[in-house]
Amino acid sequence: MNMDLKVNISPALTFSWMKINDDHIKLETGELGVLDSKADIPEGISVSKGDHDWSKVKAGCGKDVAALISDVKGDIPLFETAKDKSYSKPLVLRLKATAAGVYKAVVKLAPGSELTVIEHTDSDIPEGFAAVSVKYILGEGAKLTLVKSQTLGDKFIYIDDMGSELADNAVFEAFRTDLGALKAYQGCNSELTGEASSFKVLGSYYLRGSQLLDFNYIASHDGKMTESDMRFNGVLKDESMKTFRGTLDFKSGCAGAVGAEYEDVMLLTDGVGTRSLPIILCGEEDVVGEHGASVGQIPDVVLFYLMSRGFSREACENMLINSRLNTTISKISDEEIKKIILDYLKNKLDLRSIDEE
Amino acid sequence: MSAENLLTLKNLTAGVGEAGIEILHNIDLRIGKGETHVIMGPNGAGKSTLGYTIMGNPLYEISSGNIIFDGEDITALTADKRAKKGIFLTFQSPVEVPGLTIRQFLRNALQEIKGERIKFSEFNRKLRSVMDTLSFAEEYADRDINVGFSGGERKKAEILQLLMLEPKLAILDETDSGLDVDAVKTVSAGISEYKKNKDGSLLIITHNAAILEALHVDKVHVVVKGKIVAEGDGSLVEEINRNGFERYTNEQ
Ligand SMILES: Nc1ncnc2c1ncn2[C@@H]1O[C@H](COP(=O)(O)OP(=O)(O)O)[C@@H](O)[C@H]1O
Ligand SMILES: [Mg+2]
Repeated sequence: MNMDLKVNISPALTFSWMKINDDHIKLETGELGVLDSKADIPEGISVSKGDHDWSKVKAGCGKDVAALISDVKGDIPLFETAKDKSYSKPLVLRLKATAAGVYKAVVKLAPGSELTVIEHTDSDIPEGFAAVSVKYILGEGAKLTLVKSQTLGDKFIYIDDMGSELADNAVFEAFRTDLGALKAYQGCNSELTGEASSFKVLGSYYLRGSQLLDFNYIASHDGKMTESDMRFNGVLKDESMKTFRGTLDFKSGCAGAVGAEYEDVMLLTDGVGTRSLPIILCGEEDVVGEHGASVGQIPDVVLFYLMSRGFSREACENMLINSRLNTTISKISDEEIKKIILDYLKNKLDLRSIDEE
Repeated sequence: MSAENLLTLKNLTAGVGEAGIEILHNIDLRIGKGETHVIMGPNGAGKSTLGYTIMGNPLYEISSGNIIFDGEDITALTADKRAKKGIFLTFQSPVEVPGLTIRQFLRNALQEIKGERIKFSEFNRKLRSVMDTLSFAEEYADRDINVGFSGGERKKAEILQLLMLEPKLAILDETDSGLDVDAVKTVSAGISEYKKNKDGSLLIITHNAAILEALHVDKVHVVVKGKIVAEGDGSLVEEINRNGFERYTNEQ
């Protein structure tokens, strides 16, 4: 199968000269199948068919990717919580990528319910194509914590096309750790439809070699007093490349909305590439939107401070990379997945854990 | 003054190499094991530069002279190697490291300095006792280092590191400035603890006599415009607090 996909299309096309409004993915893969998946489903969550809900929620990568994923046959599971129920055990989705596969699912939180979803994607093979698209629908006052991680093989192409819809007072908090794959595309669209709904994401990544990470986050503020906060802490080494697009889309009528996007990118070598396109669209006057970025090498003062406490330059880098990744890894409450991540850091990245006994 | 030598600065001249600025001129200084020395001087005299140069801040270049520590010439060593040999400097503005807790940071620093693995149980016991001394609530151990700390908490966190890392020489750069009375007391208690347990040496940069009250000061060095212009015993602190630096600055 040959494909040329336009991916991660930014809602504002004003900066086309920067050539970062979207990216093209050229694919030559076998027939797309369904990823191997295993779900640990806490008691009290119902599972049914979610095709309709899945199609309804818009994701972040754009229509080419949506069509590609949509065309893949197979049932789409819908995991649904019970009203007002708070789940102490997480819903765990363990995804194992095959040569060319797609995973689709819907997680629907009934009003007043609370759930943590842990999602991890990896592979036993070094090369392949994996697309994951989970849609989240949060009812009134529902609270969702999503902890996502990815340690795919070194030559994988990975697309994560996420979407969510939030009703009044719904709270969605996401943490993601991205380490694997050669090329990773993340699209994430969040529709803050309900009043006072809130979407927050904290992401961390560490790119080496010729890895590429391209991500497109959109917080679409429809409801009054809605809130979004998108933060990414990354480390780039060798010839790796990152492109970040973050859009705060304040729609007319979202009075009192507040949105923020921040990037902190640590550059370890000169050969890396980093591009950013933060956008704030204001269809409403009574809003506060801000963005900030800190991009650069480890500041001399930081390096000297740490070295004066006995850390070699290498140990400082090791520690700073670890501490960044740790802001999201620390949220993984599933011991098995946590071990996969820590082993990956240790064995593949030669990063000694700062918590090693 | 018969204590065995710990630190010797021999005719040390240093400055910002890149900018071609010379800040310290021909400094001679000797600190014996277990001694407490005080550096005083007006703003901009070069006191912090002296601390940085001893610690090995690469921003400052030594154009001539030597630094001898514990019998070894360390002039060419990087800061981490100096730390491993037992030099410690408190910072006037310590750095924030999000994602790294005090507990993780200190255990790893201690491992680097001692060159061996340190068991959590052993480490945690010690950390708890030191935090107690500094009346730090234990939950601070699991907060990211210096992130969101108040000025006073940062200074206390520096003293916490001093007590955990147990260096042979501690250079305190205005650790007491900007602190309220109670915080100065806590910091002083920490310094006394350091002296009590380890017989360590101190080089205290300060404008404030309060922090010195509980300590026996062996020697005071007055630095003006990058030179040591006067030296004396502890009584010099009183004298300067009464009369200021005018006498010394006028002579320059
Ligand atoms: N990195 C630097 N670049 C240029 N000048 C510097 C630098 N660091 C210190 N200086 C200058 O050296 C002098 C001494 O500074 P400092 O050691 O901070 O003084 P003190 O700590 O005694 O107040 C000051 O005039 C200061 O401006
Ligand atoms: Mg100073």
